[in-house]
Parts: sequence; C-alpha cells; structure tokens
Amino acid sequence: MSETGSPELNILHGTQQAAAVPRIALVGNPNTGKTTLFNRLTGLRAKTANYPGITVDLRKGSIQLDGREVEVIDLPGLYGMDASSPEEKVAKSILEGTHAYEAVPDAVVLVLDATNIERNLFLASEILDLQLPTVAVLNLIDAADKADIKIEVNRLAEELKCPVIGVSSKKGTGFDQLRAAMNNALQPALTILTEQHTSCTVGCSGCTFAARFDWAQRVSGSTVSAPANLGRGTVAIDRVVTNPVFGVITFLGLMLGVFYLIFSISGIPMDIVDGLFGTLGNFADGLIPAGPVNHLTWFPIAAAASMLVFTGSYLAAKIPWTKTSLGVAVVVSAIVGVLPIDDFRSLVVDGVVAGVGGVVIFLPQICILFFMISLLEDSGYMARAAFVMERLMRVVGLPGKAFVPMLSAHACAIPGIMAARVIENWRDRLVTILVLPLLTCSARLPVYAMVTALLFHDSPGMAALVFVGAYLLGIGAALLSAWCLKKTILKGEPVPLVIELPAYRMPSLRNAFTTIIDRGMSFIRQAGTVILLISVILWALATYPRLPADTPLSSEGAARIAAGTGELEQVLAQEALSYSVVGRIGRFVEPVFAPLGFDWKINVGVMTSFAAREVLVSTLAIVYGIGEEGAEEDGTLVETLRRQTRPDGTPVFTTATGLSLLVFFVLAMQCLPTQAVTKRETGSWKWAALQLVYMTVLAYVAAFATYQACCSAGLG
Amino acid sequence: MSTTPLSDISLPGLFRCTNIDCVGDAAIQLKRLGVCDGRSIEVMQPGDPMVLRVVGARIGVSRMLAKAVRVEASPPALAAAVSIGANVTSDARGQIAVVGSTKGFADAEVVSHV
Repeated sequence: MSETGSPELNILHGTQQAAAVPRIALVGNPNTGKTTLFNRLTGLRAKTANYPGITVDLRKGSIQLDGREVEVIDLPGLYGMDASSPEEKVAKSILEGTHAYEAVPDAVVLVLDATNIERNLFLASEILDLQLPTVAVLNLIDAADKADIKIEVNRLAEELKCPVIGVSSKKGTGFDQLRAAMNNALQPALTILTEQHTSCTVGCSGCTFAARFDWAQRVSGSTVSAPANLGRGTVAIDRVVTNPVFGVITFLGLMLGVFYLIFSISGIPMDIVDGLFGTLGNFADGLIPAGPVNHLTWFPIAAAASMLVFTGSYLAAKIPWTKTSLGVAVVVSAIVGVLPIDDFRSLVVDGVVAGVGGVVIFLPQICILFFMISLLEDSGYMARAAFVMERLMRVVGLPGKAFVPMLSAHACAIPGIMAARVIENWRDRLVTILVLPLLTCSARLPVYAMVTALLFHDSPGMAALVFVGAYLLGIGAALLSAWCLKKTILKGEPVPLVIELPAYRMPSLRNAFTTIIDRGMSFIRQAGTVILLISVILWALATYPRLPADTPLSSEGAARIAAGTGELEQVLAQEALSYSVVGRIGRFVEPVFAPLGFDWKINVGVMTSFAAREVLVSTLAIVYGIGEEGAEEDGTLVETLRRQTRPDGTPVFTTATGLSLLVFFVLAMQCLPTQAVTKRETGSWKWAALQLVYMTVLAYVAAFATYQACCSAGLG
Repeated sequence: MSTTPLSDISLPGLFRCTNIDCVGDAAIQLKRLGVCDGRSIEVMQPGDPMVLRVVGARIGVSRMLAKAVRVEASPPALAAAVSIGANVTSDARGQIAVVGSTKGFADAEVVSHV
C-alpha cells in the first residue's frame, strides 16, 4: 500500500483460482439481507456443508455464470474482521485463507444494506483491504427508494473502486447486472485499487476503528443523502417493544402466539407423518413373505435390502466407504440375511420403521417452530427479544439471547439447540445447549398425561397443578444448571450485550421456507443415521433372546389368562419382553432404581425410552401385558397400571412412585436426536456425554428425593 | 470538559465518546459498532440495557459495558438539532455534522467544531 494514502494499483494474478469450479463468497454485516440474496441467487439448489470438528455450517449453492458453473458460499454475517463468535471466525478464516477445508474464494460479493450504508462501510473497508476481486451489492435498494434515500451509485463505485450493483433480493430486481458483475470479477488478472485507511484521530492514535469509520463517514456523506425522519417508524415501535415492562409483555405474548400456532396446527401434519409410517410399516410387512422361505434365495434379498439401507445412511451421514464402514455394512447385512423371517419382519416393522417414525413424527413441530423463528428474525424483532430479556437472563449467568432458544425448547429441544447459534460467545452458547433439554418439550407430554391421569384422575385441579409443576421444575432445573455450569466447569461472566437493533422490515416467506427445508433435511439426516442405528439396537435388545417356543407361561401370565384379564397374544408379548436382554437388565438394575420406587417393568420402560421418552407409554403398555394398542385406548393403560401390585401386595403406582417417575422424566435426557444435535452443534461427543450424564444423575437424585419425601409423608 | 461513564446517563441526549476503558471481545464489539473514541453517541433510551444511536444505527448496550465508555456532553446547539430530529454524525476529530434538518439547521451540511 502507498504510504501517502493514495490509491495504488495491484494486480491479482489469479493465484487462488486453482479450484476447478470458481467460488464466490457472499460477505456482509448481519441484517443486510445477505441470506435472502443467497437464496434468490441459488434457489433451492443450495446445500449445507459441514466439516469434521467444525460446528459452523456453510450454505453453498451452484449457479451458472456465462455457461460455466460457479459455487456461491454464504458466509456467516460479521461486523468486522476482529471476529468474536465461532461463525465470524469461520467467515474470517475463509476470507484469509486459514480455514482447514475451504480455500480463499476467487471473488467476493460484498452485501451492503442500502438503507444504512455508513454502518456497512466499516466492514467494507476491511474486505476491500483483502484485495480480492469484489462486487459490492446495495441490497434492499427498494427499501432505500421507499425511504427516499438517494444513493449516487457511480460515485460510490468510484470510492469503493469496485462495481456497485443495486438489487432487491425480495423482488428479484438487479440480479442480471449482479450476475454479469460476478462473472467479470472471476476474470483472471483483475485490476484492484485499494486505499489505505489512515486515521487522523486525535486521542485515538493507531485506532483502525476510528480510521475506518472516518472513511465510512466520508464515503457515505459524499454518496448518500437521507431524509431527516429516516427510521422514525422503527423508533416508535421500539419505544414499546424495548420498554422494560411492555417489552417483556410483548415478547411473552408473541411467543405465546407462536406456541399456540405450533400446537394448534402441528396435529394434522403429525397425524399424516404417523399415518405414513404406519402405511410404510404395513407395506413392508406385506412385502415380506408370510410363510417359510428358501434361505438360499431369501439371503441375497434380505442382505441386499440391508446394504441398501446402509448405503442410504452412509450417504445421508456423509460416511465414506472405508474398509471399516464397508466391513460393518457387510457383516450386519449378512446377519440380517440369516435372520428367521419373523425376526426380519419384526426388525423392519418394529425396529426400523416404528423406531424412525417415532422420532420423525416431531418433524412438523420442528419445521413450524423454525418457520416462525425465521419470520421473527427476518423482521428484526429477535434482537429486541434478546434486548428485553438481557437483565433477567443475566441473573443466571446467561445472555438475553439465550431466552429464545430456551423458549423454543418448550416445543422441542432440537430447534432450541440450533437457535443457540445466535449466542456469539462460545461458553454462553455451550451452557445454553447443555441445559436446553431440561425444558419440557412436547415429547414429555404423553408421559405427563399418563402420570397425572394415574394419580389424579378424579381431581382435575391437582392434575393441572402437577402438570404446571412439571413445567416449572424443568425451567428451574435449567436455570439452576446454567448457574452451576457458569460457576464450575464453564466459568466466566456472560459477555455483556452489544447488539444491533436493525430497522423493522417485512419478513421473507421464501427465506422461512428455505430455512424449513434446510433444518428439516438436517433432522431427517439424523433420523436416517444415528436414530436408525439406536432404534435397531434397542429393538434387538428388546427382542433377543427369543422366548423358546416350548416355554410354559409364567404363573402370573397363566393367572391372567385364567382370570380373563389378558389375551394370550398380550401375555406372550409381555413374557417375551421379560425374557429379552432389556427385561433381564431391568431385573438386574432393580436394586439401583428401587429407591426411586421403580420396579423392573418401569426400568424396562426407562431403558427402551432412552432414544425417545414418549416410548415409555407404549413400553409400559407391553410390559404390563395390554399390548401396544392398549396404550392408545383411553383409560386402559392407566387402569392396568393402577391394578399393578408388588410381591408384597402393595400397589406399584402409588403417589410416591408416580411423582418420582414424573420427576425422573422431567429431568432425564431420554432423547437421542437431541444428543445427536448437541454433538453436531458442539463438535464433540464429549459435551453430549456430559449432558447425558449430568441430566441422568440429576433425574435420579431428584426422583430419589421425591420418592423418599413422599414415602415419609405417607404417600408411599 | 468533564467526562462521565455512559452508564450514568439518565436522560436521552447527544454525547461524544472520549475513552473506552475495557479490552478484549467486549471492547472490539463496541468499537466495530461505532462506539469508539471521538465519535458521537446519541442515547435514545437510558436504562439497562440502553439504546444508543451510533453511525446511523441503533444498538443495545448493557449497563455493565456502558460503565467502560466515558462520554462528554455535546454542545447545546447539536443537542437541540437532535431534539428536532436532525441526523447528527461526528467524525473522530470532533467535527460534528448536522444533515437534513427539518427546521432550517441545514439542508446540506453544517459543521460545528467541538
């Protein structure tokens, strides 16, 4: 650079263009509509790229420029190259060529908010200093026109010394010029002019911030004129929504509306998903021969079907075909090939289809939640939510930005954990992720419903009180755990709030739908891999060893048949589960769970609901001998549970046992998809393991205390 | 001119930042959003957190961080300009520009030396 501060000529010789497909990165401040622009450029062809050991995903898409394929990368938004959040660090590392898996892009599209150019020019000055071929985009040009902001585009291009294109990502205007400019930027040996940003600051010598703001102000002042009343609407709305009292009320009211929407409209798609998996199970059942088969002809069919499932899973999880992965697939497929036909049927219908279906049923809730969060984020409101909750959250050592993920977790922990990405500070984000699963998600509701019906069927008031108590217990445990984590293994004060409150704007439905597809696919990939694996393992543990055909019925089973309280099929299912590995473990660990009031049958429920907690209800239905269908009949399960007695004749499900079971399920992890997402977002199984261990210990201790306290109070 | 911590400001008004007395991520976050030495800061909503306007954008800053920002009051003429809705910006040298006033301060630009 010239020491005089005058523009100087640099020639880039295309050294970064070694990749076969040219790559262009979109760079910009948060709230500039960069993602909307990316979605408009790439349509639905975009993919999410993730890297081993790196928790930040990148969105990439291919576009055609002048007949050749070009990869566009949507870098995370950043305010400056002094990166602080993990997302900003990834953006910076790519731009500077220090990213482990991504080379420096061949060109950069610098996205500027046309309604506030001065703010954006600080980052622009840093990006231009990188001397990469750059195209500046004035996004939201329609909003700037509407606000009567006049921008001298040609003069701005002279100042920035790169092409400047005005676009409206929402309306799609200006994209032909943008594509042409992007194509030009990829031509080799592009001439780049740079300008040194010297500071004349008094009392801030050497402060590059002041120097860049000086430059931004000068450039903005000479190219932009804005009316005096700019932003008055936003200020007026903010008087209410950032008010310490009305702001909190507005926020809680809005979130209440979001939850009402989720729970009122997700029922239909959830029923559809349930129906689809039911149909799929029946279809698979129909395909499998009913009678004996020739093993020589059946083996290749079953093994090939298994290999097909492995191929799909490996593709979804991006697991390469190595010797180990191929070996696992071949060995498991060979075992599947030699399974007796009835076991194969059970594996497909009860293990794979029912196991995955039981988790995918929550996809509609997750998608609706993401849709609403995307709309609120796009509108600019989410920054206000973090603002008003800042002081309250600080009490437990978390930033205000942690509140939205915590609220989201009341529908499902998975979108909550993903929404924690808004928290810049890694330690604060980690604490939030670790405590989120303590909040009552919708999968706990069947368990709460069962226990309250069991204990307080004739007292709706008490039932409601216990229900609310369960919610409050989850919230209290999450906040207390956050406080403890911040005082122990993740020590540190939360980073104080500094947040831009962007102008309100109409949210983009297109963005919201793209978010749904992106996050939904991510969830389905999890379902097709880790969840599938655990479902099959749990199925195997609950199925084997098989009850020998000539085994006489147990005295309890025979008594039930004789008394007419159970059908033969139900009794056999009960005895088969009791004979299985899970049944044996249930008995083996009985002394461990006895202080919680659990008998071996409840232990079996706890174990089989490890992957998905709502499975407890159907497992208890089987283990208590009324069959899986019995769980869906109102009252049948509850009546059956109420009749259960211990060997000494006392009832199993006393108030003490019921409340202990409830407390255990409020606090225990019992959700494999959440664990998988925790691993993905933290980049390590270590944190997922910590989450599992501390929640299980917490659940055990709290359930123990509950049971013992209730027994002492005469409720046992 | 005497300086005071930004966190002590209890009424809206226009101020000039004289010093940022913190280091690390928090200082960088403040500075890259425009809260840095010599720049104009408009307090729009005092409290915890408080709403500021810097570099034409509104930002929320917690009181804990505002304690580290020392400010001095801007001249009355500029404060008056703010009160009638003019857009006021300042560079780091203390030159404050009033742009687009509605009551005749200036249609183009008035520069006041602080």
